[in-house]
Amino acid sequence: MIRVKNLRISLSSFVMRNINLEINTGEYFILIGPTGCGKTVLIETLVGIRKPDSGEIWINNQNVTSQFPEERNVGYLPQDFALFPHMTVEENIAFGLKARRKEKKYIQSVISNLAESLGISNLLLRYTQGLSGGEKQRVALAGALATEPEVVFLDEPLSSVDENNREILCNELKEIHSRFKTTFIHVSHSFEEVSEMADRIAVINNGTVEQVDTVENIMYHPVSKFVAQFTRTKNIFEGTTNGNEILVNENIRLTTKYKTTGTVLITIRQEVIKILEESKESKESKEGYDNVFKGKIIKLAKRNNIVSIVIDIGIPITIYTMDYELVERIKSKSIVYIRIPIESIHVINV
Amino acid sequence: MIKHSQLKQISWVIFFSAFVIIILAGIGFLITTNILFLGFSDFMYYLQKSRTWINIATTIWTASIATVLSMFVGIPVGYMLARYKFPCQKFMETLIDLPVMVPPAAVGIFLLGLFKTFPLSSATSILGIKVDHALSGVIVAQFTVTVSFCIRLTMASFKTVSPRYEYVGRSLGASLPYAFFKISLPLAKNSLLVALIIVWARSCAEWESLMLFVGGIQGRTDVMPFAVYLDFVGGKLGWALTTSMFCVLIAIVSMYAVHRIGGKAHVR
Repeated sequence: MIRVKNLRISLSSFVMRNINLEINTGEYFILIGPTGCGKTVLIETLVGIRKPDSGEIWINNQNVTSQFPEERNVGYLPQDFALFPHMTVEENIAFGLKARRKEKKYIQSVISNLAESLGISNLLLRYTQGLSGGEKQRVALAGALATEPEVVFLDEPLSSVDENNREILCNELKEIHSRFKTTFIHVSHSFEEVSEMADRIAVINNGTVEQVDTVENIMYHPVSKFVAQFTRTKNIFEGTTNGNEILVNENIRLTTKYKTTGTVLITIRQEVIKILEESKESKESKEGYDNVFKGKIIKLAKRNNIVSIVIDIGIPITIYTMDYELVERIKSKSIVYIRIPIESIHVINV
Repeated sequence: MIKHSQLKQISWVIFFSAFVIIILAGIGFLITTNILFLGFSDFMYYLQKSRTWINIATTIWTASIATVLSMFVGIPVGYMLARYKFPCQKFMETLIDLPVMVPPAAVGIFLLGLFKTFPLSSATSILGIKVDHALSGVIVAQFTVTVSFCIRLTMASFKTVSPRYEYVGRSLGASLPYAFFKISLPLAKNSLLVALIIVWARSCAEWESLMLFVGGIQGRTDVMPFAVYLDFVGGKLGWALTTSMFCVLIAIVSMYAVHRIGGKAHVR
């Protein structure tokens, strides 16, 4: 387990404060946040490249805060992997073992096992220039895994990879993680890129950790407007409430499962809102469904197999759907009905 | 049919090429006129004299020792300045740069003062080291003038290597010295080789500080630039020109090597 307690790191004009994290052994943990939020600074501090002002870093019940990187037993893969260009693939993989003065026989067996396992046996005698993004990733991981680290830190490993190969490399990373069962801590600025890989995510904003949770909880139960926006929640509104009804824009009443008072922020994921077809609409209204609204389609666009529909019900509601037949049926209509499930409305006290 | 824009581009290329040709022609003219002035038979005559070769050999070995000493100091200091930030760094860099900016003659005077006063005066006399009118003094002067130059170049060399390679190496278990010798040094090898050649060529060319610090005695301390001066003062123009030709040759070979090595990313 990796524990970070009240960490404070300062760089000339930028400060990261109150960083508290608990990362379980074998977990695929992702540190996510916009550019300049401090993700790389944090990972460099965890690796041992930077010293924190205060706080503690524990790796497997050992306080490593004041230890050098070479004493922490971690693996580190920076952006573009930083493979040593003056060494062959084999020498790159062997580097950590040679630095730890392991026996030649042992080094050879580790190299051949890892190379076979990661499908890079044919690359061992090649230099690292000219390797593809995927090959570089596998070589870098082989080098990091050769020393059997407690944790592997990956700093935006997909940032220099083109769009077409990103998904392949994501799957490969996840697959390698599940095979080796080592703790992976992966830094990224793109929620879409890593949401399918993570066991848990920490969202970092402006030097602080805003939320640590599973992908689903972060998407459906964000703790702040920033987290909601960062996870691409399209429907974020301010409203007032007294009980379990929220008044948005003075004329839209939303029923929620939360009971609270005062000004609140509500977030509704665009994937969970239902478009009701005419026949169903009347039936569902009669049966007393809450949060059924009549609205006008104001925008309809298809992007990456997902159709985004914006419906004005007094407030603009964005809906994502992959039901192309439904889209075909409703796109000629000016008025449609939608239903916002009660459980999908998340309330944040402002 | 050539378009107006193409014509304009061609005229610009011709315009810029003209300057390159002027510079190259100037250098070529400078060398050939002096060769013609000296005459081939005289050149061959001086080549046969052992003194010419002794001067060349003395220059090469003293400059080589001074270069090794400069690199020995320059590599760790350059690495420190390239990788770390510490208090008074700018002030320290300014002090290190002084010998580059101060006229070499002034450096010679300072060295003279340094070795004539305690503690170095006592240390050299106890150890039996003679610096004035001796080749050890030549090496000290060459080293002093080139070391800061060397530090600047080695610092620039290490700055060309991303520190991320070292971070990765250290996270894999390499100590700082191991990462330095196995990663940073090999990756900076080409730039360091270039630095070494430039420092060596600069050491070969040094004479102003020598003149004031060491003093010139023919047959003892006359490295090539010194020999040129002493021969010129002594009215031996042919000898001075022959030695100057070798100075130019050393500079051309050095700079060619710099351009050849400098163009490569790194040496395997």
